[in-house]
Amino acid sequence: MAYLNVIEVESGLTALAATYPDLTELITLPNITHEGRVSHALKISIGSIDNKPGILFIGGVHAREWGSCEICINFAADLLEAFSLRTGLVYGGQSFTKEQIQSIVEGLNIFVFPLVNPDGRHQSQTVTPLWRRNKNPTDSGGNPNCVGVDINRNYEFLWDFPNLFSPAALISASTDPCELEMDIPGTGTYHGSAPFSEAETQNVRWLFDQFPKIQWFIDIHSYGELILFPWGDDQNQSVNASMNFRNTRHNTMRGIEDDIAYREFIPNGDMIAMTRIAIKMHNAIKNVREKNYTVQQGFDLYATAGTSKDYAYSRHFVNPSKSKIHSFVIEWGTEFQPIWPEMERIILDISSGLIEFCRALSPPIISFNPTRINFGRTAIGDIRTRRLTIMNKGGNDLDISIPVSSTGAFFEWRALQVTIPPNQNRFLDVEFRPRGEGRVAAIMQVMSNDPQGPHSFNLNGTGFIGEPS
Amino acid sequence: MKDNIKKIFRIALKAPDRKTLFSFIKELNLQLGGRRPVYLLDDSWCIEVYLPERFLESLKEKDAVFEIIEDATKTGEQRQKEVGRGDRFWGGKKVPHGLGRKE
Repeated sequence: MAYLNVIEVESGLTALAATYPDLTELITLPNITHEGRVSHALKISIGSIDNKPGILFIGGVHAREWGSCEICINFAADLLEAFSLRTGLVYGGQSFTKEQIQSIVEGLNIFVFPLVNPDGRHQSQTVTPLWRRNKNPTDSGGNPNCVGVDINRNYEFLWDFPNLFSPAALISASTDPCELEMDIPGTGTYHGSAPFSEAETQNVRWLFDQFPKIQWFIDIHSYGELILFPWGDDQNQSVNASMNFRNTRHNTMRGIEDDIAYREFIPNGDMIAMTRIAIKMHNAIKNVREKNYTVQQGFDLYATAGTSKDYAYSRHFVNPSKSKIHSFVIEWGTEFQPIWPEMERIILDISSGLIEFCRALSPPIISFNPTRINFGRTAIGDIRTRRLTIMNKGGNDLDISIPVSSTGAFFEWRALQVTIPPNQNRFLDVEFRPRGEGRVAAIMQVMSNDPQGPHSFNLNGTGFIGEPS
Repeated sequence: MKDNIKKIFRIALKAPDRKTLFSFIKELNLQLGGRRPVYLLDDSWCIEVYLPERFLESLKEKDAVFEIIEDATKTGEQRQKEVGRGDRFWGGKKVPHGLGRKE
């Protein structure tokens, strides 16, 4: 094994779609790159329910961060193979059960776009290893060193940073295509001629627009061993909702660390939700081989403008008709292009984090043991009791509600209203009290937050005249 | 590497605190790409920077404390040799397998 070249990322994706046609859909992205490459994403899903929560993973944004594509392909291949074989998945010290894998694929729509910037990757893998941008030469003025736009500064979030941040802010973004990282060609954070000026960012936006149920998003980068959540423009605050990126009164205040003049508003509930799931990823990564990724707000790294993470999360603030997208960046590893054996270990680390991310978002799944109760022959006057086990095989808490049985019915049980955490179960005792001869049946209605519910549980038994036991 | 910069080094630039490190970054107009300053056990702050050989002299002139981690040009050329040739997935006919254990 070795790093995937640009052709292999695409053919790997095509092969996954061809091998698992019932579980996947190969999506052709509409915008062709400057060098004429057509990009694809893979949708992983089963069943006809299209309103399941959606997750989008993207990689290969910055050209030199090669391993992000490999992580995406590995994640998709692992998930599809384990689901099809009905196995669990093990990454070092982290295990996922086969039930968890089944609930991820059954409960979610997962989109994987492994190579956003194929032109840049090809340049980095064949000519200039440290190339970061795409290969669009439009703004380069004919200087080959100034070719390209930093894809992750080209999104529409405070894109016009010179007019939207404090002049004193140290911002990782540039208006000058020839402002390079220490004169290294293809580097620097040039943000393009306009928001979404680039085919690559247009393709990511197209996925968000085309699949409006996408509610969770991770952009996979390197390096730094970090898990970042919004915002990237300033420190977060959850007190003053009017102090936000849309408010022009704050246009000269953003981006200063530790001041009180401006901090970006984030609802407390969102921050808690994103922090919680980031910590779950952290734990799943750590369990593989003790790598300790830091969970932090994007701004704690440095101030940014025009990034995917902030654009994704900002969409519902700008247009409330759009879904809220909880967004993250993973910065894997401690160098851009680790030697391949180390990259394989990083792939295991991050795949574990991504599977855990999906597991934590997969809906609750109710399961009964036994799947129905047949009390058999029971003497009139006798009482026979059977225990029903109700399990949660999904990724989130299962809330169930079972009303008490009707008074004087053949089958009796107590009301049950309970929350069952993932991989746990609760018991309910059901009694059969035959009052006459012959076979009787009833249905117990189980209300729950399992998207496949409500469920009907079948009971039957036969009464006979005889000596009670 | 076929660009016009012969040799690029990856260095660790150090400062006694984060604020000093950032003022140094600004003064030297260092472009960081996507990297962050990290806190070191000896109570100092450090950031990794990629820069061509000729910048090392100017860092020395400004009394910057730094350590060369590697010759990034050489490493990059070695890594390029680790990139697949051809198409190991046969144009989409051979499926990739993930590295996770299925059990």
